[in-house]
Amino acid sequence: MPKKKTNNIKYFLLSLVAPVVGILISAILLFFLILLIRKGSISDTIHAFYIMGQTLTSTQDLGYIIARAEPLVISGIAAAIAFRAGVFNIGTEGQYYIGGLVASIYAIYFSFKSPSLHWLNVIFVVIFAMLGGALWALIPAILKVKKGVHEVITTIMMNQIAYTTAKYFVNGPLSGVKGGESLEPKTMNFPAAVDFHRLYDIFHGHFPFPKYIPLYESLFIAAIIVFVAYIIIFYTNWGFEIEMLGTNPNATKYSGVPPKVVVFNAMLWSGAIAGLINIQEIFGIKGYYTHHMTSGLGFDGIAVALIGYNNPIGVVLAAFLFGFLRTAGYNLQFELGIPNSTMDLITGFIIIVMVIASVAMNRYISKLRRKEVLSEAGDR
Amino acid sequence: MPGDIILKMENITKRFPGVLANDHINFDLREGEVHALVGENGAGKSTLMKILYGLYHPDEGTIYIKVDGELKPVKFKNPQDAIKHGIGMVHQHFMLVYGLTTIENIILGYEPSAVIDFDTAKKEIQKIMDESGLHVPLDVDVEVLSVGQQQRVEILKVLYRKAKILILDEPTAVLTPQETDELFNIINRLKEQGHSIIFISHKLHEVMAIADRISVMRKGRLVHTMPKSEATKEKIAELMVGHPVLLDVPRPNVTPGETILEVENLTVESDTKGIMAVDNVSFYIRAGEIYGIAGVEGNGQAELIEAIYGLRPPKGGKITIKGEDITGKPTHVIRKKGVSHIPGDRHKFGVFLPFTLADNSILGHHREENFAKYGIFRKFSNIAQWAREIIKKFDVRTPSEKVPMSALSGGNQQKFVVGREISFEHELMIAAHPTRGVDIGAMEFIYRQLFEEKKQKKAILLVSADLDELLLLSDRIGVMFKGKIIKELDNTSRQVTPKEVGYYMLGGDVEIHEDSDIAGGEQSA
Repeated sequence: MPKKKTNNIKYFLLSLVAPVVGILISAILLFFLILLIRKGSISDTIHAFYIMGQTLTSTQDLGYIIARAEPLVISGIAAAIAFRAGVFNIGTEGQYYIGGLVASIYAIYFSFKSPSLHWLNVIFVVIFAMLGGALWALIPAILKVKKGVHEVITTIMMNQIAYTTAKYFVNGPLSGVKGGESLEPKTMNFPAAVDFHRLYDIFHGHFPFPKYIPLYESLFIAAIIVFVAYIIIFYTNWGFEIEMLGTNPNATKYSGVPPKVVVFNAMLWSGAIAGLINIQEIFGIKGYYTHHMTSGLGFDGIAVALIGYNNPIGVVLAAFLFGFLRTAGYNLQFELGIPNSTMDLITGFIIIVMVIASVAMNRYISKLRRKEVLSEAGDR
Repeated sequence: MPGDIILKMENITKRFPGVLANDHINFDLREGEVHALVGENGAGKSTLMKILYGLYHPDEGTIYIKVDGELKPVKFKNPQDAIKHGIGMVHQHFMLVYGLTTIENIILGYEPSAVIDFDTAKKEIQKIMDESGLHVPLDVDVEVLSVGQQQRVEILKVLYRKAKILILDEPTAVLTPQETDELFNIINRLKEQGHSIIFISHKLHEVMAIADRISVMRKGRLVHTMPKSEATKEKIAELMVGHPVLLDVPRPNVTPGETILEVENLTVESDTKGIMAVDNVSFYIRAGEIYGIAGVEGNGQAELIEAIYGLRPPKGGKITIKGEDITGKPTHVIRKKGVSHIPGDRHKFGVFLPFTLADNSILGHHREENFAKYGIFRKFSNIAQWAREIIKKFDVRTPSEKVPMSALSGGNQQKFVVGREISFEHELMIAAHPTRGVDIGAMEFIYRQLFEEKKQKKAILLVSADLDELLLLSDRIGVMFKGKIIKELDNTSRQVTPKEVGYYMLGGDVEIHEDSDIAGGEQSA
């Protein structure tokens, strides 16, 4: 029996080869890129890597890394749920615009005004953001199940509609721009009882928590999502049926699981979670809604899910990697004038190398397993 | 009249992991002949043609093509290479671009000039149409054309690319009888113009009607090539089915009990709208009885199973299990009513290859309380225990239930599937080709398991392309032909002969009408 145990560890380690290789090769590429940008100065290049290392040791930078990773974690999980079912929901982008919008309407018009009911407001913000996201996924889901329209087409179109819908509400019914104030389009401010508390304000006085860390209550929401997603994916029949469908739709049908129902549910849940992607910025940082918020979080989440193997833990690690690269990128730009887009390039490169490496590794692993089974079973 | 040999395939061998798809095949084609290639699904016809068309590369063997009056060895890197050498393929599933017109589809990829000169193209296509008799409207969206017309477009495409050798892959599968007659007229016309045609089919009366020579493939080998004058349908059928090693597994003596499955006047539509794959079929199976369905593949067996198993809603009729109506119910309900199913294509329908054996062991029953708390939270130790029992009881060779299904050999995968379906509570077992692609050892094991089922007083519906298997196992045999059970044979004491079944498989008396129809069509050509 001990032999089997070591084998499982072996296969687990082998599955980590691809990400490690991706990051290592990208680091080498980054080295030469910086060398090129700094006109061949080796010392500058080494200094650049030193700065990147410092990003990981400074408390404030760590705070920024987590703040940048948080929406990507939610986005990555939203995408992963659909991907596991073999549904390519690339509409998480639009789903978070609408999720945020619906939650904002709640916050402006229907929220509890008493600060003691803040926690109820948080719960309702989450519920309405999820409803908004699910609503935006509902139309592609219905079209796919009833008419067989491919979700990539419909979700992309829904993204566009989401943006213009948000723009309409911000400039129209919800507009908070009054004469004499800033001209940046935004909605009315949320009541104070809705605004997410900073972690500093929560922990202050209980234990030392650094003051300039831009983290909010929404971090707990992201953590809960990771935990629940992990349980659902690996410990429940919902996750099992999603996995079945994503692996072999025909056999799924034969075992009596209706593929359409699974597709529909996966799409809606993916959308519901996507609705929560940007609540940190809307309800924490800003305190009002605008269509001029951080965009592209949905698409980044797709990359995060890809790198994280559609696994919640993998998604967290990948989101952390993205957060780190962004933060380190800002520091490099600030201190050495290395363009921030260098980091985008590296991110893309990591994805490509990893995807190639993981395909090769998976092939190798399954070959190894087959050989092992055949030799142990004494079978031809 | 057929002339010289223009194509020769010598010692063609192609291996796929675990399968010898083509085993040293020798095949040739003469100028102006129709050479039919027949065989059951999986016999290796498609592989051989894909090699000829440059889609696959042979592991061994050489292809010779007549160039300037001389046979020369050629190597096709891709289909473009094959087209350059005058080989064109008409696929069973059309490769047409909807939204483009007929003419655009025909010239696609072979436009006469960079700026498309439609007039020249049209003139050329018109000429081909006049010569071959293939007339289709050129300036309409191909989507609006009928299936028969779309097939003509496919043939025109091939002719436009100047093909001399045409591969027609089961061209009649999608056609109505009238369209089939028209196609045969066209084939004869093409023949007269010196084209050579490889005609792939498993419909024997069509092969007899159109072919000059006939080659039969079975299990990756080309077993026989003969001119039509030497061929009879019975002979072809015999060669197709073959005489595998006869396994003699003793049949248990079981007195049939109450009726378990009753099918009354069942009618099921095929994928093509309006055509009934199963046409007014009635039969019943009692407890402790094995009912075999014989028939050349594609005569409605698959659709019959899908209807009983809840995957295809019937158009009419009634299906009952122990008197309870299950007509049109979804699969998960039908499984709960006590129906187990060994699917015909295990990789496609029976297993999830990347999943562990444990996960594969509970399919369709994963929501039962034994495997999941409240039907939701999976009970992993119970699932593993269940999988281990199947592995032990059905002698599946594997180190543990934790390995992925893909790591097992084909025979062991099938044993696992059979074991799983037997292990679930059931009254009716639908076994479709239960021994396809497994070795003799696994085959015998599966036969014994099915007899064990019989002893346990289960009702078993067996569909198989292997005639010997049917005769060995079944108590009664229903022969399907064109969607109907045209004959039911009593085999309680194994008295039915392969010849008898074969006669009805080809339609029995019904067949005679068919042939005269086609012969008539041929004369008018």
